[in-house]
Amino acid sequence: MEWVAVAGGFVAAAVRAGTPLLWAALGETLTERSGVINLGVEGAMLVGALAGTLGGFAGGPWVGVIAAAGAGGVASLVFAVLAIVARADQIITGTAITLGAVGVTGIVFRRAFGSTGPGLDLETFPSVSVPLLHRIPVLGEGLFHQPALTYLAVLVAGALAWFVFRTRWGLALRAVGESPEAARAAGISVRSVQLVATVVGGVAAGIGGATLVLAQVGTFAEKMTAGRGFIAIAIVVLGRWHPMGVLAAALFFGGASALQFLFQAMGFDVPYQLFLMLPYLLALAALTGVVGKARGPAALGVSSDEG
Amino acid sequence: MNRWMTVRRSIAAVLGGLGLLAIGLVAAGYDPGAAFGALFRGAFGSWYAFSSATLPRSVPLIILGLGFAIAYRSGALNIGGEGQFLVGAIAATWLGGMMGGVPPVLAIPIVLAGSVVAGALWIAIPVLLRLRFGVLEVISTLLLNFVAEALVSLMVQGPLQEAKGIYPQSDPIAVPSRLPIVGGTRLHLGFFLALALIGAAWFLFHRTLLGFRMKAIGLGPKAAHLVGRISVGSLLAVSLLVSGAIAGLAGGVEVTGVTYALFQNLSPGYGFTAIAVALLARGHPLGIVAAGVLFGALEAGAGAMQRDAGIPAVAVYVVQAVTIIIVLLADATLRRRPTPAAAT
Amino acid sequence: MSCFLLDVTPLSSVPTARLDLRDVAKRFGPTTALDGVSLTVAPGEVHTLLGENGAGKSTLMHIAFGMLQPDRGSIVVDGVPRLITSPRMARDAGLGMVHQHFTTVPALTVAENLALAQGVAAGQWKRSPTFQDPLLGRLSDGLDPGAPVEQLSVGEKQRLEILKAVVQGQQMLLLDEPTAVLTPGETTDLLQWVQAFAAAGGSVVFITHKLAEARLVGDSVTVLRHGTVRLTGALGEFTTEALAQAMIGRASARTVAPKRPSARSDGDVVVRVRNLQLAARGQSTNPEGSGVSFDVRAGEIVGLVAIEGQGQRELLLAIAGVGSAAPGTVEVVGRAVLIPEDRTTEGIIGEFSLVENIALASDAAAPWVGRWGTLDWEALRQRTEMVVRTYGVQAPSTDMPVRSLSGGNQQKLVLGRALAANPSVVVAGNPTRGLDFQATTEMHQRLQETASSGVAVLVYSNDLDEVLALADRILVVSGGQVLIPDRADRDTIGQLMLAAERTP
Repeated sequence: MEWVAVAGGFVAAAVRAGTPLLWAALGETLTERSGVINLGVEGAMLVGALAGTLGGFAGGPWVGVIAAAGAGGVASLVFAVLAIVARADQIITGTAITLGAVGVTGIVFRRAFGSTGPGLDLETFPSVSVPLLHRIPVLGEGLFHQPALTYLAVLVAGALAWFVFRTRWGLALRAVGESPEAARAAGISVRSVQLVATVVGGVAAGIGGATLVLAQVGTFAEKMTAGRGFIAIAIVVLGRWHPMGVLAAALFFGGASALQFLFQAMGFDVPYQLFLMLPYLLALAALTGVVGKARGPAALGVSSDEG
Repeated sequence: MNRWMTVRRSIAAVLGGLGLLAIGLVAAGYDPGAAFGALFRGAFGSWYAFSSATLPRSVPLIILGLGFAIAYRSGALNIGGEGQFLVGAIAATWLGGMMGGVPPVLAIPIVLAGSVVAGALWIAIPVLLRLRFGVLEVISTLLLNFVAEALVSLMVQGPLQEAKGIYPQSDPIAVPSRLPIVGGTRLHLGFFLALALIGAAWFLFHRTLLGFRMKAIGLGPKAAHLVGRISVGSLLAVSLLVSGAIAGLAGGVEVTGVTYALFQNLSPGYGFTAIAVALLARGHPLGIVAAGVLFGALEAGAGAMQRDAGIPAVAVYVVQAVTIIIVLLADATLRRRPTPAAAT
Repeated sequence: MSCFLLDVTPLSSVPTARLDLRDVAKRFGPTTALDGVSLTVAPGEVHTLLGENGAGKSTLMHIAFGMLQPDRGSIVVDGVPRLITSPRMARDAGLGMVHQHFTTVPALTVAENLALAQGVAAGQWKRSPTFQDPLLGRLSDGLDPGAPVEQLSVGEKQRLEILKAVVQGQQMLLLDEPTAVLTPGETTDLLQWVQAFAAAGGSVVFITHKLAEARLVGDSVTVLRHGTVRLTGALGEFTTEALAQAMIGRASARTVAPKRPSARSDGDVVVRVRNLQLAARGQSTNPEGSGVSFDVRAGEIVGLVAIEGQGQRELLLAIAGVGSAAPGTVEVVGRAVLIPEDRTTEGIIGEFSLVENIALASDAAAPWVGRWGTLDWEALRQRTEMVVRTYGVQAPSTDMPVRSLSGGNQQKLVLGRALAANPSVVVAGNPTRGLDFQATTEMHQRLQETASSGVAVLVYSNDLDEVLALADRILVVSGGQVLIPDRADRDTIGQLMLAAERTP
């Protein structure tokens, strides 16, 4: 019985830790499919986390999510204007956006909560059980007793897959990411597609940040995303730019983060820092194993010449 | 003429960053006058502030900025300066602790060499991944920053923790391994070491075939390969290794010149600020010194700003971010200006 | 088939033209690309548009297709004035375009590319009613809808391009140098298809700079030079000499230099290729033991021709001694230098100055490299000035970025840099790609002089006519093999070029 509880707890923790990553990675998948790599996704998550906290205090968790979506969208809009419209280097612009997000959230956070922080009395998302299914041994608790945002993320993954591979807008998106010249010749406005894909991607990253606060940690702290946005980028590669692959990869990384829980529950005395390192090392390993076999959008990261 | 335009644009970028910070502070309800007053006093308010706060803080920025610039010139993005800095600091702390009784002329080179090797080894992982598996160094160096942070945490709570075992920090390094200091200030030998490195880099890029080839693979890798018969992959690896080694040295200098010990949050994001430094200087060695001192002043002033005006020190990240963005925008605009040959 | 169409009434009195471009002007910064150009195409007409590189042909077509906006002028389609500001509007007006460069998305399938052209979802690509049309059937024959476009041959890609352009029933087709990438056989097929399309009532603007091709396919002609119309009317009214003169602006109208009188075949062997294994596209390497072997002698020009990806690039690089070595041996007596295929990315570094581009070809033994690997910039400056003087590079200063030079001057610098190294072998890939007539002629003369001075010259070009005119003998690279044509005519060579594709 002990084993069942531990395993069930592990699955639940894995899904919980994987959900913010999933949101951000789905957003980045959309963005990268348009040929844009947005390292500002880390910054979008961070402003999303803070906006989610402020919105959560103001009007409850759903208001928090909406505020986070808006904040993530705005952060990515700034990125998009610089990197897509003005054609500044995407990698460095993304780094700068993340840097700026650290500064902005720092200022706003201190202003709003002082140096003591927001405390822990933020209303978070309750876990919702799926009838019957949540009673499945081991997996049930983890997969079917989760906050609404988790179920929503899975639905979004499916919707994104349908959008990318089954609609004419998805076809246009892929064409832009693979060959902007060809897309332009087909009458597609490359810049518009990239702008929309980047901003919507940022919205998803913002929601990811809100998920971190409102469905996982329960409070905000400076720099609390701690590189999750960058891990999301690795997840996109590991998931081979396919929403369903990204879903699986995000769960895998959630599992890596939850290992600490598992090891502690099993009574192993391993320094916790090793678990802090693990997701990043796994991300590296994943990139190593996947790059070369899977191919990303051909025009990824290349600033396009004209409209 | 061209150079002055570049300098003017860089100054405009910094002013733009400060301006946006002022707007942000007003919007957030702070008094920007008090904030900038504190910032300026903390950075330039006295000889002591300048020599003991601004200049020491500019040292890691100059060295790390140079490290970033070297790889950037070769067309590689080493965003892992922060991590290489930290492992350099770990190595320096470990070696520095064993230098009791060793004469400083031996101890200091040994300790700094250790940090150089550590930085190079840390970036050797991304180099290997790029050459063998095609993993972009941008992402791999970035991810390793977080690993290095956790490694520091592990060290100061494990093998390198102080003998008393109370706080998560190391014991101070042995006295012979500490860098000499200019009397009456906290300005240490590392500053002059940084200037020497800058001079060496200038010579490398302007006077040697190796430096010229590094620029060539950055600007035209195919032409460099076919016309210059350069092994682009190997040279890129060399360039990245040097970049990482220099970043590691920055960590060693910080420990032997400033902190004398290892602890968490040793770096307030020097590795990222250094990217702004290098971009602002457009990779030019002398520009890196100027930009490094300027951002060192910002770091120094940020502490005073937090203390005296209650504004979080992370606010200076806004200045850095805006500076980077303005520089990028200026360059992107220049690039778009049509040339006669391209207008067909 | 086109003969009776030549007798069509004067174009101006045709009641409704299919496409009527009136007084179109366009400037790019200080450069005037088009200065009041008019062009009229009737239903059922193939209108050839001739002109040198930079004459404004592509700019005019981009304006007609909504990719560029004119500064002045109007577009009338089927009698209706149109404001065409995007390719989508052009397509809706009944225009289709095939660009100079492929505009298919390599990673997407044939079906997805066709869907993209129609603006529908991938699954609906066959909705177009035109798929019942036998004319389209001729194009789509043998194209697998599920195959990624990157796996198609060049000829198949070109057919897909045309298919995309007419898939919505477009009757006005703009073809921008559609034969530039095709072999002689594929070219013939394409020209026949164009005539069939016109016979069925379609209209075509056919851009080319090959006069013979224009004669084969066209009913009428317009010649552009420096952005203005120099000549227009029914093709039959003009002699080839008159057309060429209108294109180039002077009497001498040969597109390539005359053959060298004294082609030597008794020079010493300076390149000895033995059993070199070349990897053609879609193959790993050749079956063992069947590598490439041949010699090149001092003083001769050997031409290499091939369709895309037959291993010619590896061969050129192996002889020039750069890149990873393919299995087999290449012996070169003396020094081999390379003029890379793609000037702008492989031959020069655009941001570098002229001096730095000269410095690019340094090795540790170069006279301006010091013992400790230092560079003597003064010596490099002198070297650069010598190259600039000797090879007639027009540049205001040797310190300016090479990017700001014209293509012809860039290529002169590339050639000069190579020849200044006193090579025994020059390996040149597409030495005149993108150059205008004058620069092309000069480049050909330089290569011939170089050979006459006792240097072995290997020339690879996408343009078979260029190789035919320059080379003393021709080798065809196909499927990683080198084939020797028994006769040096277009048809024989064209057959050999396709040899590997025909027998998988």
